[in-house]
Amino acid sequence: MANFDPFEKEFRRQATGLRRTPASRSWNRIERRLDKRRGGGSSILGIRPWMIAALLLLVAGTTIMTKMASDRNNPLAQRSQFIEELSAPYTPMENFEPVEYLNGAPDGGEEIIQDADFRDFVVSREYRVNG
Amino acid sequence: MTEQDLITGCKGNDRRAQRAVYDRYSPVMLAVARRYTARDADAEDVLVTAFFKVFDKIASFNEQGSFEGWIRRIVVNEALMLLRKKHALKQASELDDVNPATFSVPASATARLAEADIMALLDTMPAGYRTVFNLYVVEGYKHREIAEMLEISINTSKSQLILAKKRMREQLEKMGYTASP
Repeated sequence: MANFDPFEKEFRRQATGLRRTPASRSWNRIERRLDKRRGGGSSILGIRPWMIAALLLLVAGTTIMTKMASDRNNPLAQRSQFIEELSAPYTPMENFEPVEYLNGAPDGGEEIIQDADFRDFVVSREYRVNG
Repeated sequence: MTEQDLITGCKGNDRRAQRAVYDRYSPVMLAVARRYTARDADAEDVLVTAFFKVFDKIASFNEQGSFEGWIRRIVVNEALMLLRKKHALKQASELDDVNPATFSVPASATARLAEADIMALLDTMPAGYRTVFNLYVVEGYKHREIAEMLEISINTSKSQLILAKKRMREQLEKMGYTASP
Protein backbone atom coordinates (compact mmCIF):
# COMPACT_ATOMS: atom_id res chain seq x y z
CA MET A 1 0.00 0.00 0.00
CA ALA A 2 1.29 3.44 -0.83
CA ASN A 3 2.01 6.02 1.85
CA PHE A 4 -0.95 8.33 1.95
CA ASP A 5 -0.83 11.84 3.32
CA PRO A 6 -3.59 12.87 5.77
CA PHE A 7 -5.66 14.47 3.02
CA GLU A 8 -5.56 11.32 0.90
CA LYS A 9 -6.52 9.14 3.86
CA GLU A 10 -9.45 11.36 4.69
CA PHE A 11 -10.60 11.60 1.10
CA ARG A 12 -10.37 7.83 0.70
CA ARG A 13 -12.43 7.28 3.84
CA GLN A 14 -15.13 9.64 2.65
CA ALA A 15 -15.19 8.45 -0.96
CA THR A 16 -15.48 4.76 -0.10
CA GLY A 17 -18.51 5.56 2.00
CA LEU A 18 -20.42 7.07 -0.91
CA ARG A 19 -23.67 5.39 -2.00
CA ARG A 20 -25.91 6.10 -4.98
CA THR A 21 -29.26 4.52 -5.73
CA PRO A 22 -29.42 3.23 -9.30
CA ALA A 23 -32.48 3.79 -11.50
CA SER A 24 -34.94 0.89 -11.54
CA ARG A 25 -34.44 0.44 -15.27
CA SER A 26 -30.80 -0.55 -14.66
CA TRP A 27 -31.81 -3.91 -13.21
CA ASN A 28 -34.26 -4.41 -16.12
CA ARG A 29 -31.40 -3.84 -18.57
CA ILE A 30 -29.22 -6.39 -16.76
CA GLU A 31 -32.09 -8.89 -16.69
CA ARG A 32 -32.73 -8.44 -20.41
CA ARG A 33 -29.08 -9.14 -21.17
CA LEU A 34 -29.11 -12.21 -18.92
CA ASP A 35 -32.28 -13.51 -20.63
CA LYS A 36 -30.76 -12.90 -24.05
CA ARG A 37 -27.63 -14.82 -23.07
CA ARG A 38 -29.71 -17.71 -21.72
CA GLY A 39 -32.01 -18.00 -24.76
CA GLY A 40 -29.69 -16.75 -27.44
CA GLY A 41 -28.19 -20.14 -28.31
CA SER A 42 -24.65 -20.70 -29.40
CA SER A 43 -22.93 -18.56 -31.97
CA ILE A 44 -19.69 -18.79 -33.91
CA LEU A 45 -18.07 -15.37 -34.46
CA GLY A 46 -21.48 -13.79 -33.90
CA ILE A 47 -23.12 -15.94 -36.58
CA ARG A 48 -26.26 -17.63 -35.29
CA PRO A 49 -27.47 -21.05 -36.55
CA TRP A 50 -30.61 -19.49 -38.05
CA MET A 51 -28.41 -17.19 -40.14
CA ILE A 52 -26.60 -20.21 -41.61
CA ALA A 53 -29.94 -21.98 -42.30
CA ALA A 54 -31.31 -18.87 -44.04
CA LEU A 55 -28.18 -18.60 -46.18
CA LEU A 56 -28.35 -22.28 -47.17
CA LEU A 57 -32.03 -21.89 -48.13
CA LEU A 58 -31.19 -18.86 -50.25
CA VAL A 59 -28.35 -20.66 -52.04
CA ALA A 60 -30.48 -23.77 -52.63
CA GLY A 61 -33.37 -21.67 -53.96
CA THR A 62 -31.10 -19.75 -56.34
CA THR A 63 -29.50 -22.99 -57.60
CA ILE A 64 -32.87 -24.63 -58.28
CA MET A 65 -34.21 -21.56 -60.10
CA THR A 66 -31.06 -21.31 -62.25
CA LYS A 67 -31.26 -25.01 -63.15
CA MET A 68 -34.95 -24.75 -64.05
CA ALA A 69 -34.33 -21.73 -66.26
CA SER A 70 -31.55 -23.52 -68.15
CA ASP A 71 -33.67 -26.68 -68.73
CA ARG A 72 -35.58 -26.07 -72.00
CA ASN A 73 -37.73 -29.17 -71.67
CA ASN A 74 -39.06 -28.08 -68.33
CA PRO A 75 -42.61 -26.76 -68.84
CA LEU A 76 -42.24 -24.39 -65.90
CA ALA A 77 -39.30 -22.73 -67.58
CA GLN A 78 -41.31 -22.21 -70.79
CA ARG A 79 -44.38 -20.91 -69.09
CA SER A 80 -43.46 -17.28 -69.42
CA GLN A 81 -43.02 -17.71 -73.18
CA PHE A 82 -46.64 -18.85 -73.56
CA ILE A 83 -47.91 -15.92 -71.57
CA GLU A 84 -46.07 -13.54 -73.88
CA GLU A 85 -47.49 -15.29 -76.95
CA LEU A 86 -51.04 -14.94 -75.67
CA SER A 87 -50.73 -11.18 -75.58
CA ALA A 88 -49.25 -11.05 -79.11
CA PRO A 89 -51.63 -10.96 -82.13
CA TYR A 90 -52.17 -14.33 -83.82
CA THR A 91 -50.26 -14.84 -87.06
CA PRO A 92 -50.64 -18.20 -88.77
CA MET A 93 -47.47 -19.98 -89.84
CA GLU A 94 -46.59 -19.27 -93.44
CA ASN A 95 -45.94 -22.89 -94.31
CA PHE A 96 -49.20 -24.10 -92.92
CA GLU A 97 -50.73 -26.67 -95.23
CA PRO A 98 -54.11 -28.06 -94.15
CA VAL A 99 -53.69 -30.87 -96.63
CA GLU A 100 -51.02 -32.40 -94.45
CA TYR A 101 -53.56 -33.02 -91.77
CA LEU A 102 -55.92 -34.78 -94.18
CA ASN A 103 -53.27 -37.08 -95.62
CA GLY A 104 -53.55 -39.46 -92.73
CA ALA A 105 -57.30 -39.98 -93.30
CA PRO A 106 -58.65 -42.46 -95.90
CA ASP A 107 -59.47 -40.98 -99.32
CA GLY A 108 -57.95 -37.61 -98.30
CA GLY A 109 -60.84 -36.46 -96.18
CA GLU A 110 -62.11 -36.77 -92.69
CA GLU A 111 -61.86 -40.12 -91.12
CA ILE A 112 -65.41 -41.17 -90.34
CA ILE A 113 -65.86 -43.90 -87.87
CA GLN A 114 -68.63 -46.16 -89.03
CA ASP A 115 -70.23 -47.17 -85.81
CA ALA A 116 -72.53 -50.18 -86.12
CA ASP A 117 -75.25 -48.39 -84.14
CA PHE A 118 -75.35 -45.40 -86.47
CA ARG A 119 -74.73 -47.22 -89.78
CA ASP A 120 -78.33 -46.97 -90.86
CA PHE A 121 -78.70 -43.26 -90.04
CA VAL A 122 -79.16 -40.95 -92.96
CA VAL A 123 -77.72 -37.43 -92.72
CA SER A 124 -80.24 -34.78 -93.47
CA ARG A 125 -79.73 -32.95 -96.73
CA GLU A 126 -79.03 -29.56 -95.22
CA TYR A 127 -76.19 -30.96 -93.14
CA ARG A 128 -74.43 -32.78 -95.92
CA VAL A 129 -71.02 -31.39 -96.96
CA ASN A 130 -71.00 -32.71 -100.48
CA GLY A 131 -74.54 -32.48 -101.74
CA MET B 1 -29.04 -15.04 2.78
CA THR B 2 -25.33 -15.13 3.49
CA GLU B 3 -22.79 -13.96 0.95
CA GLN B 4 -21.81 -17.58 0.32
CA ASP B 5 -25.45 -18.46 -0.43
CA LEU B 6 -25.63 -15.57 -2.88
CA ILE B 7 -22.45 -16.66 -4.67
CA THR B 8 -23.67 -20.25 -4.90
CA GLY B 9 -27.06 -19.03 -6.18
CA CYS B 10 -25.40 -16.84 -8.80
CA LYS B 11 -23.23 -19.74 -9.93
CA GLY B 12 -26.46 -21.71 -10.45
CA ASN B 13 -27.98 -18.84 -12.47
CA ASP B 14 -30.60 -18.27 -9.79
CA ARG B 15 -32.28 -14.99 -10.69
CA ARG B 16 -33.32 -14.24 -7.09
CA ALA B 17 -29.71 -14.58 -5.91
CA GLN B 18 -28.55 -12.33 -8.76
CA ARG B 19 -31.13 -9.74 -7.78
CA ALA B 20 -30.07 -9.95 -4.14
CA VAL B 21 -26.41 -9.39 -5.10
CA TYR B 22 -27.44 -6.43 -7.24
CA ASP B 23 -29.56 -4.92 -4.46
CA ARG B 24 -26.75 -5.34 -1.94
CA TYR B 25 -23.85 -3.95 -3.96
CA SER B 26 -25.28 -1.69 -6.67
CA PRO B 27 -25.45 1.53 -4.55
CA VAL B 28 -21.75 1.26 -3.66
CA MET B 29 -20.78 0.27 -7.19
CA LEU B 30 -22.77 3.07 -8.79
CA ALA B 31 -20.89 5.55 -6.58
CA VAL B 32 -17.60 3.92 -7.67
CA ALA B 33 -18.58 4.18 -11.34
CA ARG B 34 -19.73 7.77 -10.88
CA ARG B 35 -16.35 8.79 -9.43
CA TYR B 36 -14.72 7.82 -12.74
CA THR B 37 -17.35 9.07 -15.19
CA ALA B 38 -18.45 12.67 -15.29
CA ARG B 39 -22.04 11.82 -16.26
CA ASP B 40 -24.73 9.91 -14.34
CA ALA B 41 -25.88 8.15 -17.52
CA ASP B 42 -22.34 6.86 -18.17
CA ALA B 43 -22.12 5.60 -14.60
CA GLU B 44 -25.40 3.68 -15.05
CA ASP B 45 -24.08 2.16 -18.29
CA VAL B 46 -20.92 1.07 -16.49
CA LEU B 47 -23.02 -0.42 -13.67
CA VAL B 48 -25.20 -2.42 -16.09
CA THR B 49 -22.25 -3.79 -18.08
CA ALA B 50 -20.27 -4.57 -14.93
CA PHE B 51 -23.08 -6.46 -13.18
CA PHE B 52 -23.83 -8.41 -16.35
CA LYS B 53 -20.14 -9.44 -16.39
CA VAL B 54 -20.28 -10.30 -12.69
CA PHE B 55 -23.12 -12.78 -13.32
CA ASP B 56 -21.68 -13.99 -16.61
CA LYS B 57 -18.19 -14.65 -15.21
CA ILE B 58 -19.20 -15.72 -11.70
CA ALA B 59 -17.67 -19.15 -12.32
CA SER B 60 -14.22 -17.52 -12.45
CA PHE B 61 -14.61 -16.08 -8.92
CA ASN B 62 -12.44 -18.41 -6.84
CA GLU B 63 -13.98 -17.34 -3.51
CA GLN B 64 -10.55 -16.72 -1.99
CA GLY B 65 -10.74 -12.93 -1.80
CA SER B 66 -13.54 -10.51 -1.06
CA PHE B 67 -16.62 -10.78 -3.29
CA GLU B 68 -17.23 -7.04 -3.02
CA GLY B 69 -13.61 -6.38 -3.98
CA TRP B 70 -13.99 -8.64 -7.04
CA ILE B 71 -17.14 -6.78 -8.14
CA ARG B 72 -15.42 -3.44 -7.51
CA ARG B 73 -12.48 -4.40 -9.76
CA ILE B 74 -14.91 -5.30 -12.56
CA VAL B 75 -16.71 -1.95 -12.13
CA VAL B 76 -13.41 -0.01 -12.21
CA ASN B 77 -12.26 -1.93 -15.31
CA GLU B 78 -15.55 -1.22 -17.07
CA ALA B 79 -15.28 2.48 -16.17
CA LEU B 80 -11.75 2.59 -17.59
CA MET B 81 -12.94 0.84 -20.75
CA LEU B 82 -15.66 3.45 -21.20
CA LEU B 83 -13.14 6.28 -20.72
CA ARG B 84 -10.78 4.65 -23.24
CA LYS B 85 -13.65 4.27 -25.71
CA LYS B 86 -14.38 7.97 -25.36
CA HIS B 87 -10.65 8.78 -25.70
CA ALA B 88 -10.88 10.60 -22.39
CA LEU B 89 -7.53 9.31 -21.17
CA LYS B 90 -5.42 10.49 -24.09
CA GLN B 91 -4.49 13.94 -22.79
CA ALA B 92 -1.83 13.00 -20.28
CA SER B 93 0.80 15.53 -19.40
CA GLU B 94 4.05 15.01 -17.52
CA LEU B 95 5.66 17.41 -15.11
CA ASP B 96 9.43 17.75 -15.29
CA ASP B 97 10.21 19.24 -11.95
CA VAL B 98 7.66 19.50 -9.23
CA ASN B 99 7.59 19.56 -5.48
CA PRO B 100 4.58 17.55 -4.31
CA ALA B 101 4.50 19.51 -1.06
CA THR B 102 3.51 22.59 -3.02
CA PHE B 103 0.23 20.96 -4.00
CA SER B 104 -0.62 19.20 -0.77
CA VAL B 105 -4.13 19.70 0.49
CA PRO B 106 -4.85 20.25 4.17
CA ALA B 107 -6.57 17.20 5.64
CA SER B 108 -8.68 19.31 7.97
CA ALA B 109 -10.45 20.75 4.91
CA THR B 110 -11.39 17.28 3.68
CA ALA B 111 -12.78 16.16 7.01
CA ARG B 112 -15.69 18.55 6.58
CA LEU B 113 -16.38 17.68 2.94
CA ALA B 114 -19.96 16.91 2.04
CA GLU B 115 -20.68 13.93 -0.23
CA ALA B 116 -21.99 16.14 -3.00
CA ASP B 117 -18.83 18.22 -2.85
CA ILE B 118 -16.62 15.15 -3.29
CA MET B 119 -18.36 14.42 -6.59
CA ALA B 120 -18.26 18.09 -7.56
CA LEU B 121 -14.51 18.18 -6.86
CA LEU B 122 -13.90 15.13 -9.01
CA ASP B 123 -16.20 16.41 -11.77
CA THR B 124 -14.17 19.60 -12.17
CA MET B 125 -11.01 17.64 -12.95
CA PRO B 126 -10.01 16.41 -16.41
CA ALA B 127 -10.61 12.67 -16.94
CA GLY B 128 -6.89 11.87 -16.72
CA TYR B 129 -6.40 13.58 -13.35
CA ARG B 130 -9.61 12.14 -11.95
CA THR B 131 -8.80 8.60 -13.04
CA VAL B 132 -5.28 8.56 -11.59
CA PHE B 133 -6.51 10.24 -8.39
CA ASN B 134 -9.27 7.65 -7.97
CA LEU B 135 -7.03 4.70 -8.74
CA TYR B 136 -4.24 5.88 -6.43
CA VAL B 137 -6.02 7.55 -3.53
CA VAL B 138 -9.33 5.68 -3.32
CA GLU B 139 -8.61 2.26 -4.86
CA GLY B 140 -5.06 2.10 -3.51
CA TYR B 141 -3.26 1.06 -6.69
CA LYS B 142 0.47 1.82 -7.03
CA HIS B 143 1.80 4.10 -9.76
CA ARG B 144 3.35 1.09 -11.52
CA GLU B 145 -0.04 -0.65 -11.63
CA ILE B 146 -1.82 2.53 -12.76
CA ALA B 147 0.76 3.01 -15.53
CA GLU B 148 0.05 -0.52 -16.79
CA MET B 149 -3.71 -0.14 -16.56
CA LEU B 150 -3.79 3.18 -18.39
CA GLU B 151 -0.86 2.44 -20.72
CA ILE B 152 1.04 5.52 -19.57
CA SER B 153 4.46 5.96 -17.98
CA ILE B 154 4.94 5.84 -14.22
CA ASN B 155 6.08 9.48 -14.31
CA THR B 156 2.90 10.49 -16.13
CA SER B 157 0.86 8.74 -13.46
CA LYS B 158 2.73 10.62 -10.72
CA SER B 159 2.38 13.93 -12.57
CA GLN B 160 -1.35 13.42 -13.05
CA LEU B 161 -1.79 12.77 -9.34
CA ILE B 162 0.11 15.92 -8.37
CA LEU B 163 -1.86 18.02 -10.85
CA ALA B 164 -5.10 16.49 -9.59
CA LYS B 165 -4.23 17.46 -6.02
CA LYS B 166 -3.29 20.96 -7.14
CA ARG B 167 -6.64 21.32 -8.89
CA MET B 168 -8.39 19.92 -5.84
CA ARG B 169 -6.73 22.41 -3.52
CA GLU B 170 -7.83 25.29 -5.75
CA GLN B 171 -11.37 23.97 -5.90
CA LEU B 172 -11.54 23.42 -2.15
CA GLU B 173 -10.56 27.05 -1.60
CA LYS B 174 -13.19 28.20 -4.08
CA MET B 175 -15.81 26.13 -2.27
CA GLY B 176 -14.86 27.71 1.05
CA TYR B 177 -13.03 24.74 2.58
CA THR B 178 -9.87 26.08 4.16
CA ALA B 179 -7.46 24.57 6.60
CA SER B 180 -8.38 25.05 10.22
CA PRO B 181 -6.05 27.46 12.00
